[in-house]
Amino acid sequence: MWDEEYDVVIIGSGFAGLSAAIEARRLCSSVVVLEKMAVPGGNSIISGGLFAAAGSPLQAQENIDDSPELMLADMLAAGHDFNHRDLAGIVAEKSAETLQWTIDELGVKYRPKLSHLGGHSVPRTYNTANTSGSGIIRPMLVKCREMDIPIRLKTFLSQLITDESGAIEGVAVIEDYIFPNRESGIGKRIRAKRAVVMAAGGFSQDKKFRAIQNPMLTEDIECTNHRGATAESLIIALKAGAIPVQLSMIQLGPWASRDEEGFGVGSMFSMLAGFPYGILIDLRTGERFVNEQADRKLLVDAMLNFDRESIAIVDEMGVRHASTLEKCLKRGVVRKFDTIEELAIANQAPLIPLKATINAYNALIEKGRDDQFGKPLPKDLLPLKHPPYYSIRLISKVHYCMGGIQINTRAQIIRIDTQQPIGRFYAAGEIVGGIHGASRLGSNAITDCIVFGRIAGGNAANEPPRP
Amino acid sequence: MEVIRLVNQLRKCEDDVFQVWLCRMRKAGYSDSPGMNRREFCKRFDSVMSALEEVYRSPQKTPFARPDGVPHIFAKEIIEELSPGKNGGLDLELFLVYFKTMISCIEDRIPGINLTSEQTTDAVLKLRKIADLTEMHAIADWKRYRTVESGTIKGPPAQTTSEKILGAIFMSVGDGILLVDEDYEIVKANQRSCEIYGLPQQNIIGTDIRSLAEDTGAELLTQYFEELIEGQRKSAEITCLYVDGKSFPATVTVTRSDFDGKRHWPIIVRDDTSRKALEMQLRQEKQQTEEMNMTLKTVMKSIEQDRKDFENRVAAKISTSLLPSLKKIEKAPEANVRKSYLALLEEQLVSLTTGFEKELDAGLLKLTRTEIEVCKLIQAGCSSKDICEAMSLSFDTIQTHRKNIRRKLALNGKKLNLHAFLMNRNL
Ligand SMILES: Cc1cc2nc3c(=O)[nH]c(=O)nc-3n(C[C@H](O)[C@H](O)[C@H](O)COP(=O)(O)OP(=O)(O)OC[C@H]3O[C@@H](n4cnc5c(N)ncnc54)[C@H](O)[C@@H]3O)c2cc1C
Repeated sequence: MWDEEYDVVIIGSGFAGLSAAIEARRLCSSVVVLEKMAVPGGNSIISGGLFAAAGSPLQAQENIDDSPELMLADMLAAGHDFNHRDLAGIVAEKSAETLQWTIDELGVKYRPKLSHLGGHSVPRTYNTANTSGSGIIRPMLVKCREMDIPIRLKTFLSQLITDESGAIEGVAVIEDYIFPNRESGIGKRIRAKRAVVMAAGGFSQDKKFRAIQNPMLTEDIECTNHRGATAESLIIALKAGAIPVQLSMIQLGPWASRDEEGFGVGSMFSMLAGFPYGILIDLRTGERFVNEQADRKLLVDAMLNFDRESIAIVDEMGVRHASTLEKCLKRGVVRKFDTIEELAIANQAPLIPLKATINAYNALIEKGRDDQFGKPLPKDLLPLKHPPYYSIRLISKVHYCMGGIQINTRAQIIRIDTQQPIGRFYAAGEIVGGIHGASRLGSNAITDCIVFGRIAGGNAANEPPRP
Repeated sequence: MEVIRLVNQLRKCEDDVFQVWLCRMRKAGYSDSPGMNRREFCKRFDSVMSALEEVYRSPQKTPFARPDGVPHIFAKEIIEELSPGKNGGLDLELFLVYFKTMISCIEDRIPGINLTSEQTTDAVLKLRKIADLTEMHAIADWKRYRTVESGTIKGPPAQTTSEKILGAIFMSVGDGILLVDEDYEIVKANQRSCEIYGLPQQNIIGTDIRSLAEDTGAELLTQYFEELIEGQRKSAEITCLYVDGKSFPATVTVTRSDFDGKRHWPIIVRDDTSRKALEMQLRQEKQQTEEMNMTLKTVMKSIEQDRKDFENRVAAKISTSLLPSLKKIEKAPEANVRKSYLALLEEQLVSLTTGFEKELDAGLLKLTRTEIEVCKLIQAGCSSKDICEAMSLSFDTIQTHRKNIRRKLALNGKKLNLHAFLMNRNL
């Protein structure tokens, strides 16, 4: 009946899946990671590598007062209190120790400076040294190799197999799978002696499924995710009795560039320089219209309102914070101008109102006044008057699924009819719903994935083995 | 010779290969594309076969190992044979799909031919090298053909040619293909190259190619980028790095192709892990055979040594025990003293034979030469009559011998016949 057997079977090779694997392997002898794509890492390896932690060493160094309580409060504010508090609380609580784990256990290298992302009360975001999620995924893959955890690529979970009691006993997979061709590959059954962990990520690329959840997200809206971010694993989990949570809450990224596909290199430019150190302009009016440091949902709503076409402008001082500047310039995603006049002409923005907007913004900073849109203006923020100037053309792209399946604080998946955990079945990462409520704050996903990935992996490995 | 056999065998299954090829092409979604007919297929197949013959016939002329990277003429022949101009509008993308599919169909055939595993690997490698070169040329020469033929080919205007080249490189599957720009950054990568390095498009684009290789490989690539002149190509085996930090052997073929006023380097990457594993296996098998030979040699030597030891022992016994006994017998005056010396001698002789597979019988030693002769014949299963004839002696004489033999062997009064007794004795 079974072709193979492992203690723990993990679906997905992103942050959640790999942390679960590493944690599980310390406690039991055989762990396998199944990945449907031809390369490992899912959304995680292409992500920006921004990691939020409350009470971190860099915060201590920079004298920034932060706490898990404050981080939780920020999460709830952005999430409009749709968050499942107990789960969100664990993410905030364990954020700093999990960051430390990536440093001590995996040897992840971070830049020595924190970033302040929109919606966070204080700077609490670490940047990986190579400004990419691969800066964390690679060390995780190295660790897996050292720990003898096979990562089986092109292996697609097609079905869950339950025992008489309704607990998960194994998985049916298709090997040599060529995404997204359902006809490809060969079937096999793998038994999980202890448990199965679902870490299959979100479904932002699943145009049909996301439009069912939120009809406003039509096919023509672009997406930042990897091709494999589709809904089939979520559906498999739902079929097994999992509870769907807030599936319609799908986040768009306000910072993506019109001039490249996907997340590209422009998104990080806006996130790290354009929004915090620059201004966001409506091209038709030449005026600001929103707090550039608001959380993503507010930004996207404001940008989509009235069919606005927006650009972000930042000056020479501000771009120093942009880790991807060179690549942006090379690819024509960000353009550089000696004067505001040239910038206005190239972007077809009305010059007089634009100059007025910049002058007014600079005056706020110089005179220490409050911004009408509520943008925080920290002491070290400089007025926009150091040429050359840089601009990026923005468009919102589908980015992240807050919704997913329900888990409890032990990362067990809950059954819809009994409200009890499904036996030997765990989940972590973007496939889980409810942690971030209506809107996820930037850099909180990595924290969430690794915190719950480790919890899921540990608990899965601690299940008593089946005979 | 082997080569002729290989190529002949391949030529023989041309029809099969064509059918498989057609089938695969259809599966990939190419059904009625131009040039997808038997006639064109045979042309391509033929030129690959001739190239293969050529490579075998004059291995020293093969261009692959040559440092200047100037290819040998036969690669050009294939290109000309397959050139888009001659095929009446076949574009590069289609050509690459046709060609690569064909090569893999041929390759699948090779293991079916009765060759040693070493020959098989060698044949596959040769075929692949031909494929590599042909492909590089097809891509590099495309521009030239396009300008020559531009009057006859309908298509996008000339300025999009470079996009087209990139598109075609990008499309073609099978081997990893990367396009590197002047910053040594990867600007295009096909699906296969992503798989080879374990990195998705989003990550591999913008990556410094040198960071995907180990130090010496990276240095070599830098050197190639500096040295290569346009159109020139070089190939090397280097060690590359997978996303999980594991290193793997790879063959990279770097060429330089300038467009849009900038230098670019298309690179074909082939993961050699399985080829290296195959070579390793061959090497191990060879080593095992060598080890076996060595063992055999040692065994032979020790047998020889044993034999020498034995001879030495016999010689020593003869000189220390037998010869002195004989001397004493000679000198002994009395018959019964002589007798006891004789008994002693007998003992010595018997002891001399210990270590023989079958020890000599004391009784047998007492037989005369004629009696032994008779015994040998009995042993061989001869009747008394046969023995008379063989030894030219009378029947009575033989019977007397038999009686004496039985007495000496102390068989008198026993129910054992002489033939049975002698069966296992050394005479
Ligand atoms: C471009 C981009 C940038 C981002 N930047 C940041 C950032 O800087 N900071 C931050 O906190 N968050 C960021 N995020 C969000 C964050 O990266 C993701 O939420 C996170 O990577 C999700 O991790 P995961 O392990 O849950 O899923 P993934 O990393 O997506 O991994 C899931 C894997 O499961 C595989 N899979 C799915 N179904 C199956 C199946 N049936 N069988 C086998 N395998 C299957 C998928 O192919 C995939 O590889 C970013 C997201 C994107 C897209």
